[in-house]
Amino acid sequence: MKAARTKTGSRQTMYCLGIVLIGTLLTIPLQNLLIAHLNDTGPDPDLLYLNSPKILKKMALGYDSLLADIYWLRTIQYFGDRKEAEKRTVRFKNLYTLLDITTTLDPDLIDAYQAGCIFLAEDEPVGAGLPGEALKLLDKGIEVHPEEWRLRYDKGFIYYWFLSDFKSAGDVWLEVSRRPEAPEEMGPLAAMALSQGGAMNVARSLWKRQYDESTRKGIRENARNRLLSLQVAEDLWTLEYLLGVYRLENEKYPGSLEALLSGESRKVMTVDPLGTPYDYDPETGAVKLNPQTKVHYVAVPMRYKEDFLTTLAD
Amino acid sequence: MPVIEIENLTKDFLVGFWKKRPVRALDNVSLQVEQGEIFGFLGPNGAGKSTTLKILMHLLHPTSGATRILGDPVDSVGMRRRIGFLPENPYFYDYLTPEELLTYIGRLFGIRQPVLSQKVRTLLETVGLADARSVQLRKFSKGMVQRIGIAQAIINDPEIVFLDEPMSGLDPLGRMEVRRIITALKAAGVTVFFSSHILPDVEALCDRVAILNKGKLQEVGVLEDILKVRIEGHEVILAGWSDETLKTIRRSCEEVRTMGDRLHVRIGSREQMEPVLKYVFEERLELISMNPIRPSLEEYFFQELKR
Amino acid sequence: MTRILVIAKNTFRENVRDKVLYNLILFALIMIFTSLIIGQLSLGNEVKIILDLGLASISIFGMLIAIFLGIGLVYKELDKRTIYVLLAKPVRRHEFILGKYLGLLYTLLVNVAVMTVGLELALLYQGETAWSVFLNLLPAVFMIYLSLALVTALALLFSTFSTPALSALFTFFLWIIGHFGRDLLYFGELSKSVFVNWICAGIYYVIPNLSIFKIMGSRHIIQSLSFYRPMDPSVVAAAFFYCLLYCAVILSLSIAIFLRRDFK
Repeated sequence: MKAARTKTGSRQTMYCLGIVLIGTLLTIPLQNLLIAHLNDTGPDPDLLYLNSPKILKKMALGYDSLLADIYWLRTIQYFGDRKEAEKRTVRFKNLYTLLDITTTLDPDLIDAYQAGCIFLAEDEPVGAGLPGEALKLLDKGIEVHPEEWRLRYDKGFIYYWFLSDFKSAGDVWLEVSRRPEAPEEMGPLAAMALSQGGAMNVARSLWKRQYDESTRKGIRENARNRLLSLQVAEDLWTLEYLLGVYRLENEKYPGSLEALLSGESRKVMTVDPLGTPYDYDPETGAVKLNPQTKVHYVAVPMRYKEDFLTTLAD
Repeated sequence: MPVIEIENLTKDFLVGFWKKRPVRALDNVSLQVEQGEIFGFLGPNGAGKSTTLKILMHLLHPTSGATRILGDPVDSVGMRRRIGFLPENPYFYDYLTPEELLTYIGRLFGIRQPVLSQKVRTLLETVGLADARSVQLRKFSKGMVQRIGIAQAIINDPEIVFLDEPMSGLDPLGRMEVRRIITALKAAGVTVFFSSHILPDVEALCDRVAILNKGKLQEVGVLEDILKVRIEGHEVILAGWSDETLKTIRRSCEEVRTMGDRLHVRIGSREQMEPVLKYVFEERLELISMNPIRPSLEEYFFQELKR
Repeated sequence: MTRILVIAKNTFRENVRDKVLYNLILFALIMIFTSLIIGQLSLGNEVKIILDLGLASISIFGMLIAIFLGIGLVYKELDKRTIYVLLAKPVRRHEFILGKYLGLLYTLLVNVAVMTVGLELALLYQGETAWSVFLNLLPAVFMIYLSLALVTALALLFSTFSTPALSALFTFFLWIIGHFGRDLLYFGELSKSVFVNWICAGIYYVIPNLSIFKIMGSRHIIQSLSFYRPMDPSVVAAAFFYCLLYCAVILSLSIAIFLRRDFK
């Protein structure tokens, strides 16, 4: 009379553990297949369910600061994920709301105002193309932090570059320059904006400042593109001007840019700032960026061209 | 041929939260139950009766030893079709009625309609629950639960019925009822294996008993055999006695009691018996009865446990 | 097989007579009809919001039902000692486990059906007329049901060796991390150590991946939306087989544990 029970019992256990092992192995490829689909679920409808900052502040149950961090991260993702943004019908429809929520939950998040205003104001497709909303966000920050001169400086910057409202920009900067904590160059900056709005050197110093001061990589990258674009614009406008003069004198365009510049005393570049030569067509006299260029060119408003040409003619 | 075989059965339970140590609940128990008998499994609470029954029902895995029922190992499903089991203090699904419970159990045995509903009706009548057939079980008294427990144990017309403390919690009438059912089962040729600590029931019902204490088997055998060893004398009951009689008998026996017109005489030994009986015949007294005095199971139990 | 079905049927009856169930269904239906009001706040997106909230309600309340009833499946029978009666009958232990599981699956099927009807009624009330919306909803609900089947299996597994409170905690915990499995894999990839990488990948593949059952959403249901994506039937099939395999694994594990158990 042997204990037959134990035998059948352990055999059943072995069957069960066999299924456990084989089953687990088989789920792996299925899971991988489904995950591939999960990453490709189509465009995001870009819908914010909770879009009232006040309600969210109540719902945060005192974890305002933490929730603000979460929303700030979400904002950066929303703005930074270019692939997702391309899928949306309107690229950054909810950008302002997200920034508004973040700064309501944590009004001390200066970075959110500073980077946020550039996100909002910068032209499409880089930014949302909403300089008005950017000013709204900065005003909100200035109200809470009147002592923070950087927010006022940024406000002037938005006025100057994105709205071409040089008077308002100058006024804001003038106010900043009276504050003891503001750097010295604010005074001259305000004066320049008020006297010669639209000047290339002002634009350059503004973007240079962005490039030097910002700690955010994306913002610095954008400022660098802007600076390079300004340089490209200056080069091309100079070449166009010289080509015009050449044609008036010789009734035709020169065979090459080198020929144009053979007797020229001033220093004119025939390659873009990153080293690719400009394209030149001797037939039409058109000069432009080589498609192979490494410069991410962003168009410079035409009013700067007028200002530049007057300085060139002098 | 024995229908239940238990051989060198040992069961250790691991107790303790952190450092588990084994505690022996059953120690090398061996016994056999023959077909058609009512077998009583006796012992105080904690003796290991329920543990044995649970091992037989394949609810517990034994530490060592072997068990067979109807010649099959205890995990055989085919064998379990031929047995019935009533656990100790049974409890059934609150949300079911007796009718639903029995139908559920019957289906597990594969009994089909319309046989099943007929069977359920008869069973409910047998255990006296016909009136409560559609009352949810949570409204049942303990006695009623016990009865439905017996009903579910015999729904498959088993060859062996295992009953764990079938009398506990029942009123005298309920106990009579259960006794009647057990006797009827025996009459139908069913082997009954039941555990109990209520001795009169065991005395009244069992053909053979096993006595278990602290996990060890004390004794197995016919109840008479176990108790006969200790006959402590005889009791003689007489009628038509006089004061003279009383005086004479008192001379040879100490224990004499009068009860109305009857005289109860307790005779301790053979030496005392002869003069008393001689006197009875000589005086032509009426001899009502003469019985051997043996300890009741309770007394036996009490003595055993004290040892 | 018949015995499994008999036990399943009784389990279903047990569930149906449990009051917790009705409370949860009621809450789910209230949630679904609340979406009508919330939907009105979003101009032009009513149907989408009703669908999003409705599907979320079915999934969350379904999960609660699965956990609350699942953790009691085996434990109740042990605690009330009804298991003694059942296992002394010609019932194998695996039949008991499978019967209990199937019974709860059936309960969940009925519940999910009730909640789905509620959601369809809410859509009808909203004035939705496109047949495609009502029909496309069904595969999405099916995916939710698959995830519930998985959660039930987990609850059952824990209830074979643990108390209800702990089982509920374990199951809920797994339900949560089941939605974050991918991040665990990323974490492993970020780590320099091959060992950590392997451990993370191992855990990732072992824990249930519940996020895959949420692939289907309103964007697969409303054809008129600009971001509509037709559902790939092969995804539903793959999810079904994933669920099937995973449940088989969990149930086998439960049975293996149950086989070795002593019922004191």
